Amino acid sequence: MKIEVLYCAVLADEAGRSVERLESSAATLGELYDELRLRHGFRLSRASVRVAVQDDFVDWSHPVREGLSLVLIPPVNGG
Amino acid sequence: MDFRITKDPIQTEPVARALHAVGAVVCFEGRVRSLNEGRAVDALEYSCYEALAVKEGTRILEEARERFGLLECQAIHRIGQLQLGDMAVWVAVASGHRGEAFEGCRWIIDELKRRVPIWKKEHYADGEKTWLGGAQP
Repeated sequence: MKIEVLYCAVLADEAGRSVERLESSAATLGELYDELRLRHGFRLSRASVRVAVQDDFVDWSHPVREGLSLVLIPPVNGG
Repeated sequence: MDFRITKDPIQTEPVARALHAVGAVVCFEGRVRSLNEGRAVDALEYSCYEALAVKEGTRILEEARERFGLLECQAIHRIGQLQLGDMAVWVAVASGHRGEAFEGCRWIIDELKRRVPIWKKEHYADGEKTWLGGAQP
């Protein structure tokens, strides 16, 4: 399935880009994150990253579908 | 009730001036300081995921209004490159009495820091730059 991933902050630095379009056969967003973590060497595990689809946070069990666009959100620290 | 993200210096505004039920207004300014955990900081860079930041920030203000019975609340967060002393975030709340205004303002800034997708990268005096709260060794 073709999907689009947006990386924020430290994840964008580690991936060397802020957007990536890719093919994946992962069934859930959790599996997809683990794949991307291996590929880019992310230091953060799934437990400390959140994921959003269409500007709403979703669970890692959310299914991966053709054309999905998601945002990976490392721990925040504004203020 | 208004949460905003801006790239420009934060311009604060009078809060709830027309609401005559208001007896207390509390404002908080968060500024860029020169030391973090013992290291000298030169500047800060904030980035955000804007669509979600605005949504989550607005949700926090709505929750605060319910929870503390506030009559009005507003917050502005600046992003981009900030210098020492610059205002990074501003929160203002208005209520009938001071108790809920102080508590509500404190709650809002704590929730903003915990939940809104905004990140800061510190630029240290020794030239190193680090995203805070990320995967730091």
